[in-house]
Amino acid sequence: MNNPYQAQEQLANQDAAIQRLLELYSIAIEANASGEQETLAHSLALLKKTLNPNANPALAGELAALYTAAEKAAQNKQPARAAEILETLRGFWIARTRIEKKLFFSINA
Amino acid sequence: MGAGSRPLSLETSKLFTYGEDALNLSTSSETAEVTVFETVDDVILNQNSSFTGITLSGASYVEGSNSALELDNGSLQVPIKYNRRPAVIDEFDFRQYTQQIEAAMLVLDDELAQITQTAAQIQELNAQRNPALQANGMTGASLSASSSLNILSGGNSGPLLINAGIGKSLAIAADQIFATTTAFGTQANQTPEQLASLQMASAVNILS
Repeated sequence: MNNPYQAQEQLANQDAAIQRLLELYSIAIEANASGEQETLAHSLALLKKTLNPNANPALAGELAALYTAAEKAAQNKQPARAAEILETLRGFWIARTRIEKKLFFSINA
Repeated sequence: MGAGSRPLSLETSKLFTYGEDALNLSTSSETAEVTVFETVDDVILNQNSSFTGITLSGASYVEGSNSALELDNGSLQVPIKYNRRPAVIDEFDFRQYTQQIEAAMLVLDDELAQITQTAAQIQELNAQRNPALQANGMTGASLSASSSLNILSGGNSGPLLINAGIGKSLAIAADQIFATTTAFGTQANQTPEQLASLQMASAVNILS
């Protein structure tokens, strides 16, 4: 990036957005673990609603399918399967975030 | 201007042929007088260059020759230093530049070593992971992603409980999340208000 200050600000905004996403996953995971079907359904609905297919249609499609699968698993009394999906996705985002930050600071240090 | 040689005319009547300080040149004056002849072409050429003059920084006795003779026969050797205006290149700190490059190379080497080590760990974990996962259609990308996650979280999470369809979707999702620059823009779009509303609803459900 040409402007390191602008890059830093963009990183901060992106980081805040990712933290909200991770928090949303945490709410869904906790709701699933505690059997709060309504909260789980709301969380999954918000995850689906905030998908932006224009950014990456393939990813948006797969994530939507996974949220649907998690919802069905929870409804079918398979909370472990729903948890696995949500935990795995949350882990992917955490890992990607760490990689992103590592790359950013290695470039802008 | 490249290296070269041109004849110099020395006013030999003012030169010592012996004495201290090795030059053996000066006679009545303290310094030797040197005249550099320039042709018209030389003048034009010099005006278009950055050179402003020359400095004689020393002279050497030619071994085996007569000190007077060397003045007569032109065998006297005089090192010449060209005086010229400082160029940008002279002010460039090549030493610092080299140090910066070396420091950058060390960082890259360190990163490369870490990547190599992580890749080896991923391969090892993939080898240890339940082979049934591969039968379920997990791709190398998702396995690498899962293993990376495992490493980053600092533990061994054990086998996944997913079926073939979900495994395939997770594999594709992992591939897209790790291999594209559009991943965050696809999903990290929740507003603070949306999250706060959900958190409030969640708290109400827990309390009820």
